[in-house]
Amino acid sequence: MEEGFSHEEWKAFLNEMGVEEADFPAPPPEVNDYFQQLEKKLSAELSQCLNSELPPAYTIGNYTIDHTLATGGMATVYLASRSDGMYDQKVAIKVLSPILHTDKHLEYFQKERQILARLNHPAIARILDGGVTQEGAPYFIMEYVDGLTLDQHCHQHQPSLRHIAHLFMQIADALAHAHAKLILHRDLKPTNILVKSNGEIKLLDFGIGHALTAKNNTGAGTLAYSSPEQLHGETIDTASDIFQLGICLYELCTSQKPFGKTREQITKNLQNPSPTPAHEINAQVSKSLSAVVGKCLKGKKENRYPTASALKEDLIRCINHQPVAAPISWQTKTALYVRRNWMVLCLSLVLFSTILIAFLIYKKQADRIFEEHQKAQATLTFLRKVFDGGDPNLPASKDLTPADLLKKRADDIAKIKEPSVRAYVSTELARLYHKLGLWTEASPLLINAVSFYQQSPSEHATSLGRTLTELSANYRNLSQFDKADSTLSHAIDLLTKNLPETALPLAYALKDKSYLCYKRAAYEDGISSAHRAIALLENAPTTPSSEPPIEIALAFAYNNLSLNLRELSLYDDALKACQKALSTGEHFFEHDNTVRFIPLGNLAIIYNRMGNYEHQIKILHQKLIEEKEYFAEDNPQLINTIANLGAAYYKTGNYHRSDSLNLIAYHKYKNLYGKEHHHSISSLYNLGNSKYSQGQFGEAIGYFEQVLKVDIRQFGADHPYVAGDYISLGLATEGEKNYAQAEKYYHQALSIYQNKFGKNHQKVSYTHYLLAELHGVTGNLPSAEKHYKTAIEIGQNVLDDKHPELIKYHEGLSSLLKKQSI
Amino acid sequence: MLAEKELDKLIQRINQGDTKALDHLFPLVYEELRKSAHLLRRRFQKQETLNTTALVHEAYFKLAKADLSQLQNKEHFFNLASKAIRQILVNACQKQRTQKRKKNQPHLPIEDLEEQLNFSEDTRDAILQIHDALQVLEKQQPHYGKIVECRFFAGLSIDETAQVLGTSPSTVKRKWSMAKTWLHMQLTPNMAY
Repeated sequence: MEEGFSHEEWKAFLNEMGVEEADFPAPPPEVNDYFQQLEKKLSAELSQCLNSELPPAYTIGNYTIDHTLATGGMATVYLASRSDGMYDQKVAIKVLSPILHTDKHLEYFQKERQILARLNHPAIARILDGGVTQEGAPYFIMEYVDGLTLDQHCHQHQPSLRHIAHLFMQIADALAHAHAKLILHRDLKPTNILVKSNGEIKLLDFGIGHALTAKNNTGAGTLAYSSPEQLHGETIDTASDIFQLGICLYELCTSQKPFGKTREQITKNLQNPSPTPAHEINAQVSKSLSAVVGKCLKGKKENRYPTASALKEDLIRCINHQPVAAPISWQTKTALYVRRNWMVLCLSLVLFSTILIAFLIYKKQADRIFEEHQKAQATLTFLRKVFDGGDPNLPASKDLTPADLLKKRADDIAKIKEPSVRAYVSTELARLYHKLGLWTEASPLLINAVSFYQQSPSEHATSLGRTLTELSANYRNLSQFDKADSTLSHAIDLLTKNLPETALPLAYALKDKSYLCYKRAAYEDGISSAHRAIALLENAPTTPSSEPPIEIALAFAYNNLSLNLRELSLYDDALKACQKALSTGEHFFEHDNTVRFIPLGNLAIIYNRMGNYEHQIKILHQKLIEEKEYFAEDNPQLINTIANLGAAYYKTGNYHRSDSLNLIAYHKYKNLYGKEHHHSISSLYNLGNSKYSQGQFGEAIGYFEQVLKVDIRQFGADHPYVAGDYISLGLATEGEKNYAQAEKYYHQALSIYQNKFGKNHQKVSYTHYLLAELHGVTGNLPSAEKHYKTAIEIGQNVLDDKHPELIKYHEGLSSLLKKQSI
Repeated sequence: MLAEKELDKLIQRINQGDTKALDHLFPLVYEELRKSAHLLRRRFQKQETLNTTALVHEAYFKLAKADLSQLQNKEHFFNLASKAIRQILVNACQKQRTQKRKKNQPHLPIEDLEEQLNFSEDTRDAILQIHDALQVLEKQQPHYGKIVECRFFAGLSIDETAQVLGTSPSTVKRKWSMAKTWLHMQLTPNMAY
């Protein structure tokens, strides 16, 4: 029976109720309907009664509520829009729940407001206003953050561990800011961290909830992110926040909670926290990142990071593959040091074997497979030894450098019998040396490989061409430009002969050639080489996965083109080529960050040459900030930026800043390369310039003479650098009122410039201007007038009308004419 | 309120099977449930609707952790809680009928569930009519009262109700049907005797 009871039962029921005679009731479906409807209605009304949310279109101050964003334990957060028509603005309004208007809750609410007002950090939502609603509910208005919570973000985007480390770096930075203001967060968990679509972080819910989440009141959600101190009701300090952050990081690295999920597990595990290291759960987590997480999660506060900044620093080191402060084995540290300096991630063992397998698949010829296989085996064995560092013959000391590690391996190469394998492994080792900046050590290895390939050059055209190109780069880095040039020319000839198979290595060689030309002041040649390289690279088939992306080489080819154009005062074209370099390399920054930094440096110099020093300084500052995130302090590129920034400040007359930056750069370069290296010399040159500008001519001459000596030795007596040195010496001697000597210097410069650049060049016009000024001082006015006019004539050909130099020339001439008329 | 010793004794008696002792616990459960408005809010804010089943389970969650944790039988608690919910709903409806309450009094800490409830006239009338009819029914047949309390007021399932009453699910199903039919007759004038 549908109703579940029989006629007899119903009769008995009615009997009990004192009703004697009755029909069996017709099956009333409306009975069930009635009760179902009633229950539904009751539920709906019940929910509404207990819902204290403000309705849409409700106004608070100048804002109208759009909808509810989140409901927390104490308050509800609404999205609202500015409604007074003043301007468009979205804000988040946090309103204390009306059922919680007790003194205790009011106090905590006000406290949160005060805390937020004291914090001013890009990763912490700003507070805009506050007050009381018409119903008397206190509220405050915050900056609206359109983002996902950290767990949602990670769920949706599946970010790389590197990206996660980046996010936590920002969080740690915000936390450090709060800690510096004596404010603790106390409730760090993924839902309190928002990630905006541009990857920026915002920390929410500062400093509340501590007393509210008393021990027996702690819901399982918060308990999972508690520090041992919080669990045991002990005093909370900054170390507790770091512990909580560690839990979040651990969870994102491993997709597991470090101390279990249930209250029992967590309580037990927090007695003596020793979670399974993150890298043992997820093999993709590096040991250093795992160590960082482990250090956050130490049971004893004093064993955790002392500050959030220290945590941030270590996260940066993780990202840059530098050794971290968290304890890890010395092998890992060595491997990290090696990796950081290589800067090429593909040198990890895994990737290397992938490359070799790909290589094997490419080479289909059976006889070659055997040979390539042998190479692969030998290289792998060799690399494994480098990575393990576990050679019993090596001293297991912390002082072991990657160079030691590699030198030891050079002996192993001699033991390889098969010459082709030996050549291959030698080239690989040389590449490692090259990446470490050990150019002197790399050269003999490359020469060995070259001599093997040269036994049958046409068979080994690609390998030989590549090896020669690498050898040339080595020479170039050692400032041995003649050797570099002849080696590279040899490579280009060979590769050109063997086209079309050799198109890609030829493109690389031509790209290098354009840079070498720039270094040797053969700018026209540099431009044509760059154009050839660009044409080859743009038409190249897609990169095999085993090779670095072609776009990187292409970006550098554009940059080299830009360098040469720049030196020929073709600034518009140089600017275009440079911007092309930046946009081509844009998406490959993670692969090789120099693809951004080097063109950025060039861009700064172009602006410098155009006289736009403010722009130059802006770009250099940006570059310095980015580089500091990526490089160690003694990184040559970072030093280069410091030096350039020094030079830029010099141009704007900020000599104090300029000198100190240049001195820093000089000393760093000297330690790194020795005092005769062209980088050390550049710093010296900048220092000379600065001293000159401050009227300390004697000191300036001292610097410039050193520079001249080295430049002549390195570049030859007719190099424009040498001309520049003469100009500087001329100016400084003029400052000392030794006019005859100054004039000699200027003429030496002029003849070099005219030789190198022809008559129509900025530098030629500038030298004429200098001679004009000199003659003006010595009273040889007709000669001065002649030089001014030449300077202006040339300047009008090569410079923009408003170029400061050209304006200077005009002013010089007109004041001279005034003097003559008097 | 009950003294701690008295509570211990009561629970001991209940655990030993003295169901009459349960009645003495009723005021405690009722008070606790009344005071749980804010907890309910917090716990069910993400749920779209909050039904009476949720109320009962929340009350159990709260009470089981505290004073009543020594109660061996969850059913004992459900027994009391369903009665308490009936009381709360009815009280709320009666108060609403007699006093015109001001809407929105957010300055006051409304932690009292009865104060917080505010039903529509239809719902209010239905609850009060069911309550009145049920009073008649349970006077004659007391266990029907319990069934309606569990099924309607507390929203417990057939199985849960059977466990509270210590009877079989099929009995509950049958009796709940008859009770509904009878109650419905009392509410709908044209079908009444």
